[in-house]
Amino acid sequence: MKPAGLHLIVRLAGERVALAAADVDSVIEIDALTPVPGTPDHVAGLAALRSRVLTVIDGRVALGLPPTGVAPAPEAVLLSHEGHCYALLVDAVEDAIEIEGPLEPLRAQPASAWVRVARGIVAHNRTAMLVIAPGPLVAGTDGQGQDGVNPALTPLL
Amino acid sequence: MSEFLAETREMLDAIAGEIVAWEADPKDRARLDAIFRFVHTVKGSCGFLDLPRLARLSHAAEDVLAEVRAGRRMPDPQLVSGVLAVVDRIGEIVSAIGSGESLDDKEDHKLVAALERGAAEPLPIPVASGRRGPARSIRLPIELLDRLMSGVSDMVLARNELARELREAGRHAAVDAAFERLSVTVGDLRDAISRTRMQRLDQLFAALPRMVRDLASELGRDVVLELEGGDVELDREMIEAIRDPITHIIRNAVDHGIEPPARRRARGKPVAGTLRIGARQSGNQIVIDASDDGAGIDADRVAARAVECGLIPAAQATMLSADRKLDLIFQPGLSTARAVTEVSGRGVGMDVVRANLERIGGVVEVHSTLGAGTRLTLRVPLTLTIMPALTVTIAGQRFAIPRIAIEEIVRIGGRGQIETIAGGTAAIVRGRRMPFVDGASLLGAGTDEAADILVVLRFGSGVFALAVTAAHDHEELVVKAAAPVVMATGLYAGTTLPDSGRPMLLLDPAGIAAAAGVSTVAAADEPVPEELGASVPLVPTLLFRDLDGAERAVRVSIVERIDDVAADAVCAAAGQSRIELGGRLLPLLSAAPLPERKRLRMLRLGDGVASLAYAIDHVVDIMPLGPPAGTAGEPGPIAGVLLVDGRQVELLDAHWHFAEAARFATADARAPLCLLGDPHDRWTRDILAPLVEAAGYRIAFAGDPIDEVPAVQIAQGVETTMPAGAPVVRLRVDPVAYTDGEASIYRYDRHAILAALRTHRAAAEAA
Repeated sequence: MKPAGLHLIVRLAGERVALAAADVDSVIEIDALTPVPGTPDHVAGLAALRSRVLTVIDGRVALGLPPTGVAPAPEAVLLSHEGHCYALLVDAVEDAIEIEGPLEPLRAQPASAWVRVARGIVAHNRTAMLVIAPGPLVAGTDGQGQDGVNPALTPLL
Repeated sequence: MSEFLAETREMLDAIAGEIVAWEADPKDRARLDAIFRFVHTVKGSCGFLDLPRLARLSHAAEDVLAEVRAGRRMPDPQLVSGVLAVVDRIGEIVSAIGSGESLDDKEDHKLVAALERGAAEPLPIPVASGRRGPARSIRLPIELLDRLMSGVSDMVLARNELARELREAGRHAAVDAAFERLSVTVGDLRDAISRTRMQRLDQLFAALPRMVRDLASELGRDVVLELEGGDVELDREMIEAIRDPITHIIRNAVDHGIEPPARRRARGKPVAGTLRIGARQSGNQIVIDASDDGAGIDADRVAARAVECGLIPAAQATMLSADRKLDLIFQPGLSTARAVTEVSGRGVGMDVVRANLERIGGVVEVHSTLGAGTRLTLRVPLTLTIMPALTVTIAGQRFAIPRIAIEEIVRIGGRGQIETIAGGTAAIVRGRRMPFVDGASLLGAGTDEAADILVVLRFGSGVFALAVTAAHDHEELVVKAAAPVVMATGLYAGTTLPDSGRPMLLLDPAGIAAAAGVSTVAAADEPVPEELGASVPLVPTLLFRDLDGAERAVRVSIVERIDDVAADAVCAAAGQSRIELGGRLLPLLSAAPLPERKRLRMLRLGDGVASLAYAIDHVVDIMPLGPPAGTAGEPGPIAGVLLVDGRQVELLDAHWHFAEAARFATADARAPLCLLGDPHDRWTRDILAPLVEAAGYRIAFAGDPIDEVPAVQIAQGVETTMPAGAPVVRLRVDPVAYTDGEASIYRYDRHAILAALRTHRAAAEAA
């Protein structure tokens, strides 16, 4: 099987999850946020990165969880999705690691909030980790809806 | 291969105009040569790339054209059409290859056969040769240009940050000079890179002759197309964005505007209709006019259709001016074309034209004279990316508003009022009632009591008033598209990064109107009749006795105040009168020469930006009055006649008067120069300079390079550094005059300062 390759490990809503390196531009620090009235709650605001304007996504809220309630985390993961730049607020950025094993479909049902954003599962040091996809995070809970069918789950259904 | 396709496509665009010109004048050797070169080049490339179909077609066309060139064959209409068909087919095949589709090749033989048929009569053709010089240009991928542009934008931001740091770190002459040089270079670089995004409108115009020719022959019209301003440059994205609207307008003009030849003859018009597309740059806008000398649009029929379609109530339709009726063609769901034709469908689509233009910050207007023709005027910003905008504060946050959408800015309690009718809120701005949108509650921030500024915004054919807390600067902002999740709110047109380094949202007026539930028709920019009954709207109107004895009226909404002024505040120069009111020098208009009195009564009229003074005898009354019973035919000081208790009272034409006053302002461009002292002196710079400017002077400070003798200079205390050559007004800090030395004026004696300036100004203008 094809190795899943390089992944960035972050802590999001208390869970260790992985982001494929192909989805990640860099890890940045967010300072000032410009709020965007009228957007869904998971859009924390806009931030500037040099001459780029980033849309900042609160990862917890995008999962349908209550916001962390503290000031925006200093670290955020810069994601490119469909030609736009997003900064995903996470609890912490842990490590970048090469995953030897393949990306596998979900076999166990994770906590429902994660189902929507999971792309699959990888194993590292015998621990299974969810690989999350930028698309559904960016769309938030309003995007696909909690009941949407995740392609990663089709093998289970 | 992809280069061949791109090149061929480019040549096809360029050649389209040549082909039509050649058809019009088949003897034109230069055109013939250009077309020959095209098919020849295609044939050559096909050999390399193994494209037998293209090779066969281009070879056939080349043969025929070679015969024409050699004078062995005459370019008759059949031959021209045959060549056109081949060129078209080449275009189709190229597109098909580009998109990976397959195209049936059965028709190819017919095209080739069509070229061969027909008698070849020898005809001598004058020999001429035109050769193009080598092109001094290269082809670059657009992504590379975009990367350059974003790199330069980063540099500009870094420069701004560095400038801030340097200011805080204190001054070093050497560093400052080096930084200044860097700064200028970065600015130049940005301009140059921005220009790489610009393309000539020829890009768009090249395809038009062919399109008009095809349309005209399909519809049986005779159309002469005149193009002007192809050298005007526009952002390439902008050219793409206006391509569809322009195409649509041309289709409409040929289909519905220009009459069939027989009808034109019957109407005594030239048989061939003229369609003129002209472009010009006006400030940071491009103005494109599309005019035809066709049948024009029947405004009344448009209004009648709008009533039929339920777009507006019949009562309102009768009140609309002709221009406003014409404007209804931009309403969705309106069709006036009697017949549905294949070319422009039901005549729908003008709403789409307007929507498409508004999306890029443009506007479109229509003017038409029944029987004589129609003109559509498009105004679009130079680039999509740099937009002039106003920044405002709503509920504590800054937003940008595209300047093109802003009609005016007024203060609630000043020229703007809020009224609540039947639970709904409306704004009244200078007599116009319009929908009111509270910015703070729209953006979910509750209500903001401090929001007392109304920004009157245009969208579609309507207006509405947006309440904001404060209006700040006009800025040129670099606008980028926002993420879909942000655009989905419908409130924003994009994001921008001002010098502060904090992202800012650009509001979308049309989106805000939609979100606030403002409908275009309700927002129609016209006095709207009361909901109940057929009563006409009554507007508070001031009646006064004019200087020539007539009783006249003016709408209260434009009256800022009524002043009693000393007659010596009037100064006349160069045939124009001005008056000093509240420290400002205003144009003074009157219906008759000013009477010899010590005190004069003035109406101060304001349009939201400019003010003017109108001298009157006395005020009679203020009462609510309807629209004029009769309107003046000729433009002039009187708009029409109001009936007041059986008396006829003339209503001042506000537009005419402000236009007159604006002519004064133009004359002001050469306002006299006043030289002040030290620019680093806070009092001089922040307190004195605004006063002098408001009095109608241009300002220069000591040490400024000036190349004229100032009309007057103002010195403080015993300042002796003032150059000679101009009269000096000397100010003193102490209210009590010096006992010795020159005459001086206490620096807070505003009246005396202005009087002294007036004296010198009159002397300077008399000289």
